[in-house]
Amino acid sequence: MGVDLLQLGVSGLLTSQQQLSTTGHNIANVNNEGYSRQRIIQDTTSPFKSGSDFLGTGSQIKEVQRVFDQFRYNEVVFNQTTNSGAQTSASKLARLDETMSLIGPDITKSLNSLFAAANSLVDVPGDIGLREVMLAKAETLAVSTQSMQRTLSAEYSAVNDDLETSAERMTAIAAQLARVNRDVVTASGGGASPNDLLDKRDKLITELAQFTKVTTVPTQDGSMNVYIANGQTLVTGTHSFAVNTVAGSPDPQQLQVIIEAPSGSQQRIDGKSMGGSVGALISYRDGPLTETINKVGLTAIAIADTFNTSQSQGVDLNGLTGQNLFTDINDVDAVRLRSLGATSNTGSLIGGVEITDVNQLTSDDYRLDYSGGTYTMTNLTSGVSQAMTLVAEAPAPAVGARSFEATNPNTGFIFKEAGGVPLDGDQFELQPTRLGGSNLEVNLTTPEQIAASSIVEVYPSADNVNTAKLTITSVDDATAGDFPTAAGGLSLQAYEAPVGTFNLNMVDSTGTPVPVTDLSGAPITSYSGGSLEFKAAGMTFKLTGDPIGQTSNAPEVYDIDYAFDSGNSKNMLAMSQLNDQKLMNNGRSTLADVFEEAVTNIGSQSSTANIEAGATQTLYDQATARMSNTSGVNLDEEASNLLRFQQAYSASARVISTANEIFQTLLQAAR
Amino acid sequence: MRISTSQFYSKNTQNIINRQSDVNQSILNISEGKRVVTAGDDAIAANSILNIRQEQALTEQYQTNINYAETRINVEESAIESAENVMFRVKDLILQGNSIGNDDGARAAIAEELEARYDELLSLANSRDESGSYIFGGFQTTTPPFERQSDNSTNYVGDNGQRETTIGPGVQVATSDSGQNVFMSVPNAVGDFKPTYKLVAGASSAIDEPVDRAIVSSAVISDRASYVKDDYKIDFVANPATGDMEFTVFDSTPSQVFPVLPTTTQPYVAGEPITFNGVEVVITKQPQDGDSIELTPQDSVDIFSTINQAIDWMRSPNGVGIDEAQRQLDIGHIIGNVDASQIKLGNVRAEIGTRLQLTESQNERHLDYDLTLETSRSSLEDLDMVEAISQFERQKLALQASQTAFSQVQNMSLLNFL
Repeated sequence: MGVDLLQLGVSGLLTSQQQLSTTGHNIANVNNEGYSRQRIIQDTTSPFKSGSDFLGTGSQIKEVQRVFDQFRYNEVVFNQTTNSGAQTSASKLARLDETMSLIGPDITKSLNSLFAAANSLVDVPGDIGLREVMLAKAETLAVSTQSMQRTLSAEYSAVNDDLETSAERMTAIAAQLARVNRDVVTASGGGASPNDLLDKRDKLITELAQFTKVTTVPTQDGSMNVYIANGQTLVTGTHSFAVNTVAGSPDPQQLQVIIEAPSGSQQRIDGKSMGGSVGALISYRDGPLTETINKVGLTAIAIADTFNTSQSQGVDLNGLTGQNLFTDINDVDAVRLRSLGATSNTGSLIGGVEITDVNQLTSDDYRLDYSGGTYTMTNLTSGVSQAMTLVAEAPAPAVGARSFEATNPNTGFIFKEAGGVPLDGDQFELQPTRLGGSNLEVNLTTPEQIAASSIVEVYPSADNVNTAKLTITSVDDATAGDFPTAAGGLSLQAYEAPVGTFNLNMVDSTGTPVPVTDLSGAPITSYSGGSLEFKAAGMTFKLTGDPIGQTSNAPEVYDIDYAFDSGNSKNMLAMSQLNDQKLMNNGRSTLADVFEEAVTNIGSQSSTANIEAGATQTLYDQATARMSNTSGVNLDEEASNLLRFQQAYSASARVISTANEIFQTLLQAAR
Repeated sequence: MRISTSQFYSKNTQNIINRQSDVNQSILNISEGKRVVTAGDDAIAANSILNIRQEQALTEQYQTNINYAETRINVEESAIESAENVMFRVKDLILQGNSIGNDDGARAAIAEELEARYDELLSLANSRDESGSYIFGGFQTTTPPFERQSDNSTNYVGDNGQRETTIGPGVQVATSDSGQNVFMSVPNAVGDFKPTYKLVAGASSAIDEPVDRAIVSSAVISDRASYVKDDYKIDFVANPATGDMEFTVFDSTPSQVFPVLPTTTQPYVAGEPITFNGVEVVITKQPQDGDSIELTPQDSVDIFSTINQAIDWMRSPNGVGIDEAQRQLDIGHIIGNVDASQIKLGNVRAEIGTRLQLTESQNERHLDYDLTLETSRSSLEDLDMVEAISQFERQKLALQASQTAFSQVQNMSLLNFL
């Protein structure tokens, strides 16, 4: 017989030994995440031909198999990316939601407090103590708003920091992947599969998938090429690229992600399409966070503009026209900082944004493109573009000093060229409200400067017989020659003659006629009824109802007198009513409404993000469960394997001792 | 289905963590007492809650303003009430003085009391509120609006401003009246003209002189379109032939305006309206030959000069005959103006009453509105404590159950038996 029993036993022993070590390896790695359990595949050794029979010669190890399902692994990677992105969004939005809901009300409360102080001034306008309270409340409002702005800015910086950290980690993973690829190629040279190295590589790819979308393509020699985002190469074979962040353009604060090749060439990645936590961070930063900062800014600008305009319509305790309560929304620095030029611009233009109509202003940002002599403005939120129209001025301004407005739709601001010359292809980003929250500061220094008193009042004569009403719409120029003073006022006389024509005549206190013009400046002496708006002596008036009068002998008379005094609180009355009026959003929202809308908007985005995060978490858990169930180690299973292989080992050892006994018997027989 | 050991542990741990998280959220809600802590908890409800809170803040502001307004209005009302009482006393004194007869001493005493009442009225007109502001000065509240002159008349040096406060959405209420309106613009009892009587003594003796002479009962501008502003004079002459009284009206040039030339005189009929140049005059009683009445335009009188006239009348001696007739005509008009002053003060008081009614009804509205808002807000935002606590108990139980289950199962391993 040609088959050596001893050899048979030894082969069985060695095989069982190997199986026991592999089982031991599995048990040792039971808590190793990303470890795929290994199995010995046993096979028989080549049989021995004896006559016409084949005799078995024992067993050998065919291969150490890694229990791994590529499809399930791919599922895990995919779900890792979506889940990581959803979790990042949800946690960021939850934090923003908390900030807005818990700290945000400070702003509306401060605003209401300021109006409460204004109302107390309506009651006793001359009281210095109450005026000081109003200034203090204005200061509180400014501080609350600035504080909210700072909190949100800090959040913006924190997101940028997260981006930098993520980029560093991605670069490190890429470098490690390149090294593992090299090791796998070297180890695979022998034909066997380097299971532990493969596990290591898969683990790295899973970690990378947290940050961004990952696709992998295996190559012939065993290495894995890795592509991220929309197919940008990160690792090819043993070469890895770096992921970096650079300042954005035109807004340098808007950090961009780039891939840098080993040669040094850079390629920008569109942040939003990256997926994973990095994509989520960028979407969050450029979406809800920027929108919220802009809305806080919009509210602050509206508050400042509203109160400043109201002050200018009144007179303070010193008899002077009211100064700005808050710093001017269009002061030189603020205007300049709202326009950012792209670094790629070849022209030298410096731009600025001057806000003209808070009612039309929104929280959107805009992109301005200069080409062929015209500016085209694109709303970055809606994507709608329109060409800007030149504001006509006399004399016509030179290039570099022009102003442009948007009319379709009206955006509430004008773009001013402030020096330099634009060239075709230049791009600008306009952020009309981004810095509004940090610019809200109290401008007045003494309590006497609050303009509680109206400048002029209309007193209809007691002899008037009609219910026509004359009101002053606005005071445009208190320094106009005929403007009423303490020395003398004006008198408007109106009567109907002939039927259908109403005659107007304004005289000053000496009887000298005062010119009356329509809104465009053309003189008028009569009109045909309905309501009339006209200008005279530096004021704009509105006359409603029909002042028929009783012939030119006894017209309707309206006295317009200088009304400043310490007990006059008419301007404060008008100011106090602003809390209730729809001054924004094209006449649809009050001052507080805009901010409240921002709060609920974030709230609803946060709750949506939470729901989505719950769903993606479930999907991810299921994917990992499925993979783990295939590749994970089960201690009970390994325990029973230990028993099995131990028995096989014992049995093979018994075969060897039996072979020895047979040999001994043979030797004994031959003595 | 095969399950790996690490999966087994991580799944169970995740369960416990999830239950813990639920319990934590419940505790947060219960300790805040709110169902909606951040807008993310229920965005739609949060929207309504924010709007309701703002409405409540606005309503509260209106209620505060109503308090301010009512304080001011009440101060003014009490001053007006006192002024009315002063005028009642003034009228009593005048009537008393008129019936005394020849007792100069008694009339002097009455004149002194009238002076004291004048001072009282002046001080009421210069009333101040708790903040030290003069309430009848219009917008001018830091200096007294009524200044006494050296001749004892009083001038108004304030302005015509009227303060207002907002007490509801789009609802404003006046909180002051200017002194010009209250004290200086009493409607002329006669109309738009001030009559001055120039009586001529008749042929008979002083004692037989008729005392009841012609009196202007009303002189108004009836047609403003044709009105010519001027001083007018009505001369009465007895018709030489019939002895009946006739009259002619002249303007200040003087040229005749009534009757229309060439007729020179018009027969006098007591009580018949005389119309000329847009003016309508009604004269009653009986004029004597030679009497004339001058009419100067005056559409309002001030309270102070009325009282001054009464004082001067008291101090001047009683007369007989023509003087007595003159004095009776004069005191008649002074009493007419005192009545007009009382009516004016009464009207101002009535208007103040209307303002208080408005503030009260607005306040009622605000209270009702606030209640509705609070109920809505509570239903959206507040936690139903009973429901929350029972939910908390359930979640606590679930947490305990998952912890117990895990502790019992994690011990089971084949290796324990080898």
